[in-house]
Amino acid sequence: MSIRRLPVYILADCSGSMNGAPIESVKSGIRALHSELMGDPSAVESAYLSVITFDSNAQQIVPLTEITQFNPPEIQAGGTTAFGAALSLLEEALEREVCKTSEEEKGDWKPLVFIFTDGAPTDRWDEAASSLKTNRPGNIIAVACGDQADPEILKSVTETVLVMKEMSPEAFKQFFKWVSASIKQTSQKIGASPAAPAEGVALPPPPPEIIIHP
Amino acid sequence: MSLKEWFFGSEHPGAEKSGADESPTKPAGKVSGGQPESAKQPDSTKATVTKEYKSEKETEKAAEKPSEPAGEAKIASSKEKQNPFKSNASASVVPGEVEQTQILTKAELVGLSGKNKDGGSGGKPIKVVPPPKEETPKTEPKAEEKKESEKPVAAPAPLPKAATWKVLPVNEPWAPAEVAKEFPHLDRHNYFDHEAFERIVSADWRVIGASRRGRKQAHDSRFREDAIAFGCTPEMTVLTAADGAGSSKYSRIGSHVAVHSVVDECLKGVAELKDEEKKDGKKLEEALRKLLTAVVKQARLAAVEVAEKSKLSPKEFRATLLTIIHFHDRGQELLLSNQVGDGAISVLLKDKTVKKFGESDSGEFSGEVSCFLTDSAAVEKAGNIQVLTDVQDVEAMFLCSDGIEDPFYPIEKKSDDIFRQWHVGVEKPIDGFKIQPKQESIFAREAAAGALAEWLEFEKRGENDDRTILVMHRHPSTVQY
Repeated sequence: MSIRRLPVYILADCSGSMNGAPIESVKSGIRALHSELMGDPSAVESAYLSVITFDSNAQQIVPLTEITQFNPPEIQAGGTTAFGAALSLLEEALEREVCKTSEEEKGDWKPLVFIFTDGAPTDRWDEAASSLKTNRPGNIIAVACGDQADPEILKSVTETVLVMKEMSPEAFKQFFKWVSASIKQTSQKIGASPAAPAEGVALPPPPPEIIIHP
Repeated sequence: MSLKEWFFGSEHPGAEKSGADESPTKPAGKVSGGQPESAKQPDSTKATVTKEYKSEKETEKAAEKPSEPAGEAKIASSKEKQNPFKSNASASVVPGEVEQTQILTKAELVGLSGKNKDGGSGGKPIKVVPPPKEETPKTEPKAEEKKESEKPVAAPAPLPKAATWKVLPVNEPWAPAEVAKEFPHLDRHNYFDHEAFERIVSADWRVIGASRRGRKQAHDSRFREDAIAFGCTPEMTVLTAADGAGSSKYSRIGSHVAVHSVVDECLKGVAELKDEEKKDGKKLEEALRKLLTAVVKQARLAAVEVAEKSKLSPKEFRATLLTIIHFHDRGQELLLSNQVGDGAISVLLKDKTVKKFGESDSGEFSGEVSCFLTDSAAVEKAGNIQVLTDVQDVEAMFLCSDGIEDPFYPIEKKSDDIFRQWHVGVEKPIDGFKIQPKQESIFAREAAAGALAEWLEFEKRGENDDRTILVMHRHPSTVQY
């Protein structure tokens, strides 16, 4: 008899342009997110974290792991932006790691996915994006960081797109704080019907550093 | 007070602790009060405490079950197997850790309640202050440090401690000003975190109900969102429960309004049944079907009306609704049920088979419900009535919120275990549960509500929602397990 998990995936852009302060902010952001979740008994019992990074390639550097076993990963920036590969990997990981309700087993909570990128994709991404948008294997929140990222590209992955203009350490800090607040309020009963699938997520309002892209 | 006493209560608890004495909130308070506790126990301490607990358990069961201590290990290890992502050896502390923490909490609680008898477990949550445990961490990290110094990898910051549950009061009125202004009777100051009740409703049947605030709600300073109610006349009993959606701000009001509307409307409707309808089985069934459909529709309208008159969105009042009507008069006996949303209704027949008696609505992921009572599609669901005419074959039934349905999923199969436990008591937890308080038969007890509330205190990882269950059973029982 398995437990019901709340799977959380973080897709982090680690391309060369993230080098320096941004990548350090991401690392400390993930650490802060982890310790924030360790402070919530419900997250300790239910939330599972995975980290997928993408530069010239995409890789799942942390498979879906329970919070108490999670070790914030060491990540480095460099290379191009294999956004499409990351999306394909995400969909594959969701398929492989997340349980759906069956006759015998209660499914996991609907996965939460946070994608952030600071630049334009350097590979083919459109098919992977539309597959995610059609299949909706999770509640995906995408964040365009800085001036170079195109929120419209993210719009083809999910309806929920945010823009973080300033890539300051403070903005990243606030972003990860918001991620943890979102995770904490996610495992509860919600309306979800084929007619209104987008209704699925109710997230807290993002911090002032981050605006919702209409 | 020994662990056994704590779990079982006194020898004849029914006789001594009357319903009033054993107030419904009390048993729940015991457990919820005990939660604050540091999860990060050093291994040595954990081991001793667990040992103590086990040894008490062993003495209790005498030597006839020498394999008992292995039982827990088995649960833990099978859990580990289920987690395909469990990483290497160094990480092996944690899943067990939560489990052992719970045991420790219980063990400490026993100590506490032993000291101040009845005083401690009342309204105040018991603060279990973890003893300072600095010794073991000192030695363990040392070993790790050594290893790490050999490796070129940068030493990671120490992992933060896992938090434990708090039990907090709610700091807002039960009904917001908008609602209280329009509906003064909903300005409830008599809200209970937990409640339990019972009543002998006829010569053959007893109703027992219990509802408790989930640990998640308690930790987040939120009200219980489940609601429970029942009503009876000499010819009819109605049982109903509702579960307010966690994502809706005032779902507690939606669920409360819905269950009370159901009871009121049922009592009214049954009083209006005509004699000719009551005499004829077919006509009676038809009339009761119509009645239950109308009752559910009316409950929907009642909840929506509260939202609209308060100028709030009905979506903020979303709740599920489960109802059973038992009609018995002039040789006619019928059971009817209706369900909007998730949760479960289950019936135990005298041959000990179990029957599902409602249709749960849930999605492919946990927590997803396609239609709540306040949604317009609920009007259709109101027409979906199940009827059981061979009531003479029925021994017991329950309806429950998903706080029970999910941990016991799939409930069609687990209902068997549930009914068995109520009949014979709880000796050891069902597979996959961290803790189930030991109990004697609930159905055999003279006063059973407190015992049912105690039964709701099971602990299972990730299952911390409100829990509500309403049971009707033959009294005295006619089946033997």
